[in-house]
Amino acid sequence: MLLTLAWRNVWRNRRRSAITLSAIAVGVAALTFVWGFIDGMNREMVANTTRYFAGDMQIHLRGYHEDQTLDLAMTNAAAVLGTVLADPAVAAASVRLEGRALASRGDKSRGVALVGIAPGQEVRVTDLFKAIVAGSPLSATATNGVLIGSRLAEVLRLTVGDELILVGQAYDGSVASSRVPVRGVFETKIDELDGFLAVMPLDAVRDFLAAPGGGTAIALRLKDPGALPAAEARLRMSLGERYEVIGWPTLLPMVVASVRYHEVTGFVVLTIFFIVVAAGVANPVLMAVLERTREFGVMLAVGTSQARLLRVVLYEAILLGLFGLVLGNAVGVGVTMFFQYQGIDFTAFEAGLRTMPGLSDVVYPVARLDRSLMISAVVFGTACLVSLYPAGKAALLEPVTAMRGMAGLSRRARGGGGTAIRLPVFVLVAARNILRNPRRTAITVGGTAFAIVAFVFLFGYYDGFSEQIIDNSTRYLTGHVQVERAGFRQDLSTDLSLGSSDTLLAQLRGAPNVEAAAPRIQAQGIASSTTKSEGILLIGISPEVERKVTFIDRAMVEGAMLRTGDDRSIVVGRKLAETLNLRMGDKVVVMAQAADGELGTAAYRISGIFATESASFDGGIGYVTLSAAQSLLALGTGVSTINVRLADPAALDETVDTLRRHLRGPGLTIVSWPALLPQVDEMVRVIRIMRAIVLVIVFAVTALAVMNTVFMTVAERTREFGVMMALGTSPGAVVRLVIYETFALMTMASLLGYSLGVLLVTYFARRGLDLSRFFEGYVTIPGVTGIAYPRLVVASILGPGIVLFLATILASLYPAWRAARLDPARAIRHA
Amino acid sequence: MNAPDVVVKLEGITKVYRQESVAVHALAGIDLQIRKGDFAVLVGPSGSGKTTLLNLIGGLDSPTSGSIWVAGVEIGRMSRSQLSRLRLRDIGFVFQEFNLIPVLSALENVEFIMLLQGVPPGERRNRSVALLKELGLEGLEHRRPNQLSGGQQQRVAVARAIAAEPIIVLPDEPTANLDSKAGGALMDLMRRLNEEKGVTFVFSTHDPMVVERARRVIRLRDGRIEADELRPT
Repeated sequence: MLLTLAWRNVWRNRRRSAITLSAIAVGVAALTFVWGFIDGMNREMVANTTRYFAGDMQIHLRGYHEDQTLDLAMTNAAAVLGTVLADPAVAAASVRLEGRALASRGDKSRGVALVGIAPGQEVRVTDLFKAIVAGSPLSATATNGVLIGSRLAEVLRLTVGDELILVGQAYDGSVASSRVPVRGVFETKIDELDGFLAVMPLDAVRDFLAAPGGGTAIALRLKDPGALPAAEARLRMSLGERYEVIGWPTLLPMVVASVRYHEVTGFVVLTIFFIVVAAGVANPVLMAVLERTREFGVMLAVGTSQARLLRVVLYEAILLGLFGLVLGNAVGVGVTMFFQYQGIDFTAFEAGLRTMPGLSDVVYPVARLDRSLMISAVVFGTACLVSLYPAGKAALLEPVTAMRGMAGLSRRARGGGGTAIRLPVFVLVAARNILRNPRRTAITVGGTAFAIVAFVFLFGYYDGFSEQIIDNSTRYLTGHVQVERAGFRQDLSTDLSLGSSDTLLAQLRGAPNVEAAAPRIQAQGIASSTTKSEGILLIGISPEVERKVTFIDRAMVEGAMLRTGDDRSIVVGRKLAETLNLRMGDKVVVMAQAADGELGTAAYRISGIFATESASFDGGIGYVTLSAAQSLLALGTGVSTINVRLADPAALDETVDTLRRHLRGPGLTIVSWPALLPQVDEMVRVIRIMRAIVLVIVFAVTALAVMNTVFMTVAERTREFGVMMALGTSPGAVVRLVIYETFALMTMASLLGYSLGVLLVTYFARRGLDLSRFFEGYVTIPGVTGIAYPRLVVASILGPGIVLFLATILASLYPAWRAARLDPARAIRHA
Repeated sequence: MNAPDVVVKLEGITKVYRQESVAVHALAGIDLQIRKGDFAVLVGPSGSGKTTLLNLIGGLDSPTSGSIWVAGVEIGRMSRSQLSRLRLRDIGFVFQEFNLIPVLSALENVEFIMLLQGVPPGERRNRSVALLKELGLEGLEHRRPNQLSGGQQQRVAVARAIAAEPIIVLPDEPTANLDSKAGGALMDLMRRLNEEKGVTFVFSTHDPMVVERARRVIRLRDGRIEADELRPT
């Protein structure tokens, strides 16, 4: 009976029920899709990064993961492989020998990870061979030949059949070199693999590195990837203390960092949605009770117990919640599943997506039952929870006063304050109506203000984050503009130098908006300590001039930045020093392809270590003086690039145009930072799209909630509007009155929301938001540092704020129009 | 309209409502003239058509057939906004439930109509204050409706109805929510306004006290006029 009553009540006010339903449904659908999207990205990242190369797990000699040196190669790899294969959870396993080498062809070179594999075993563990786009995989019996990634092939201008020269440091410390034919080119769309991996038969690498019988890793694939923790524990037991068993989360910390970053971002967004949805649900449920005070009074008067009344109201909320969930899940799961099969094509942002390991062009969201259940449970719980308050209020009503009207629930008007009409009367009426139901006003204003706070903060965070990435990348690495010979950037080839830079420098320094210009040499090289090698970007700088363009000297944590004449010194990042196991004063040997076609080699001592908090800087760059680099690379007085810092970075495009008109030279190009750092540029664009999506959903739910409130205020004042119209108020004036009320609500919400939002952004802009835990391992995004400083960009929050304001005013037009269309004779009789 | 003192004239008025699929004949052929200065009551049992007739005269509703003239103008085919202007200019309403605008004070409620009519602020303020004083509400001008008693609220409603000097005031069961003392006082007040200011009143009522004070009694039954009698003053 009570359920029937609740059911009929739901149907009685269809409009209110429809609004409540849509608030729940939009929220559930949005939550489902956003979560599905994040899950989809994460799943692809994990699947792609593990399936192409890393495998589900790897076995090393203890300590190898931390210190990847040939000293920690397993000499009895075959025996370990046997133990691993005997584990019931292991589907396949493969022995590998890994080392570093400088890969060159002609005058082009690049530091690579050289990996020896047993093709017959490897094909059962990873899908690398399936990613071959030219040539063929290594055959099981192959003794020679190399597979390289598509980017490496592009940079070194190699095709199948060409020969690649590999230079590296052998197990015994000697310099190893070999000439190897390219058998195939693979494309995994993972930059670290496509750009920096060279794969050869195991025995060939053993020969090259002078490590017969050795293996540094055993990669394995599990029958069930979900069984990772159990298999890890079992293998640790069976292999003993001498070996380390490393699952993919440890092998690929950047994937874990990305997944965690997505989850954190996702949870922030989801929490905001939950609260907005909760406010959207609370409002109509509350109103549904308030407007039926008299009816509840009658029910109490005829003997309905308080508990039963409470149940009727709760049942109504439950019914609405259930309908909303069904509808929201149908739409949310439907849309998610549609895109799960279709995929969402982000080809336009490929470079941006590739900054996240394992992601490339198409993202496939995942519909998951557990997610849907969780979203449903939380939204449903919220709906029931928010209905408890009005339900309790209804049950505690005094029947007699309730039957007389709104007593007990509606607020008593304030005392006669002697106010007279000074404001236009409809503005006055609107303002007083807002104060008439403080609870409803508080819910609406609070919910809307929260949405505004959320968007102001998110925008501040994204703006600060984007600006920080741009600022860090340009000020540590590239400057705002780079002058180079056409094509230089593709392979950093030494034969594309600018020649003598004096004239160009003078021209640049005289150009408008140019704050400073510094000549540089940039080349790919390989840096070796006594035990290890690592590919680096070697940068030759003119220290005093460089200081005016980039600020790497401000990031020194040990020693000091180079000075002119320090031609035997090198400054490296902290991570590189750690990888190579180097300290201040230690010797580093750098090899790079020289302009004369020879392999340039030089030894330097570490005179400084910098830390920028960006893994890609700290782990892959070495600075030497301009003259040291010129000597190493046989460039004479030539330089590779001139890097420019602008006085006003916002005037980038105009300055680049001016420079293009004024600077002349054979093949000279002026490149602005978005082209120098495409992944930064696209990351910033991806961020903009993400925040737009978040904004649209939050605003849609907010506008719906405000529209609902306006509907409620109109519905509960039907008689009042009827009276006003009977007295001769025109329909237009009624519409204005309703709009004034929305205006007042939104003004309050905006003032509150913007004030809190601005305070929050300002606070964190000073204090910084320490997200280093989530960004460690984010090596592929230059400029990403651990601490984000949100930034208040008035221009970027003003537009959406105005749009939200107008959207809610527009949303209130419908209830306003309904009010204006009321039949006064019937409205006056409305109870 | 024939006689110059007729302010409202109804000819052959019928009103049929549809409730679900059943047609309800609220009015079944009404011919009636209200003259300037009338102090008339519509009486009859529930469902006899009193409120419907009052709504038609006030331009709140349109007849199914027949014609209605208010101040010489046929209102049956007026648009919503024309009717809205008619109500603003020529009609005053007093409702059974008082129906003051809850967020406005007594004074502001009285001023409201004049404000819609565009009466200058100083003038409408003076007139409202004077009216409230005349109706015995001096000192209560700035109270909100829920701070006034039922009788006081209904007097504010009367003040609001006559403030704009309409040609006719239509109180619908004005005493139904008042005790007999407050009801009697309200009727005396309206009668005084009728006599001293010549305000035309047409009431609908069940209340014998209202009927007692009326000078013209129009009895309705089943949507027809059963009797229309004048009483000596």
